[in-house]
Amino acid sequence: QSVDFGGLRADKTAPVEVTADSLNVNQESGQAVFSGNVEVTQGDMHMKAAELEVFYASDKRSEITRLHATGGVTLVSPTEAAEAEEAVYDVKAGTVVMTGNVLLTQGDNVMSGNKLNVDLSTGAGTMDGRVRTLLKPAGSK
Amino acid sequence: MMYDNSHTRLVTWAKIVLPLLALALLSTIFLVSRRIDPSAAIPYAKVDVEKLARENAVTRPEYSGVTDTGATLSVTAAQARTQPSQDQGASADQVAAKLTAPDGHVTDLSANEGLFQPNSNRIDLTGKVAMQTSDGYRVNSDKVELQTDSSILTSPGPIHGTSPFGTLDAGYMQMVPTADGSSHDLVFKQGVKLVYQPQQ
Repeated sequence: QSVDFGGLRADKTAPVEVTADSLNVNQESGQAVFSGNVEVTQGDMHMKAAELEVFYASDKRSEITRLHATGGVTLVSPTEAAEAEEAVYDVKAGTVVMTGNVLLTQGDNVMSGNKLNVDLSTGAGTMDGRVRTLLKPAGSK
Repeated sequence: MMYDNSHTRLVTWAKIVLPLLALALLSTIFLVSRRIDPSAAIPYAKVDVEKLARENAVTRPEYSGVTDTGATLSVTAAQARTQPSQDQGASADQVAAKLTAPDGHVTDLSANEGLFQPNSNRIDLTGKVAMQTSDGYRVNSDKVELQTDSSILTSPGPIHGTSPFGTLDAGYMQMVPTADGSSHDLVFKQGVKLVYQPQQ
């Protein structure tokens, strides 16, 4: 089922800011793991998670390809909010894939499913896997 | 004996002018020459001799050792002085330290002052400490404690620096050897902030 994520736009070129309680970097593999109420912000897109792992481009380490957030992730935009167990934010492609009983609230509409795939540049998203939607008809109390 | 031909007149003038010229030249050697001040001949070193004697300083000291994880640590400084107050510690300035992990990762540190405390196996680097690791981390801090026996580097205070993927700020940083000891882990705590600028 395709969903319009009007609010969830993030400019792929905007700087990504990651704040957390702690960061652990293994110098050998270069693996960097943020932990402790991690917040990722890019433009007006905010993502909160318990843990976040940074993946680099294989050739050069100065380029982040993916951010893998785990331990309960909430993706917040001015109009929508999405919650899931895990999320993978592909920085290069500008897409977020959330998995693990995803709950998406859009104003009054609530939708849940197993996997939510959002393209941040267009704001379009597809939810699949046992999708259940709760639409509040306009005008009802 | 005035002769009218020009040659004789020339010679008579020469007999007067040339000696005068010679006399003038000679005098410049003695009268005009610089007075040589015998006392300033040897430039004395302007060093406070008592200070040197009291503090028995060492110039260009070098410390090197191997930590228990097999990482080699070498520390050099411009000058080191023993600390009369503390128990046989030594303070040094313009300290440069290099920690080479068994797997080849190198960490370079430089600081204005260093305090060597051999009995607690620690060297405290203070004063604009700059740390640089061979995989692209560049960190500035006010104070870094170097454990000389276990190659643990700790910056108790806040740090600011750049990582390979962006600028980094944290309240606390520590570099600890990994469990197998072949490499090091960088741990940043007390609030970490990373700003990554995606390349096009």
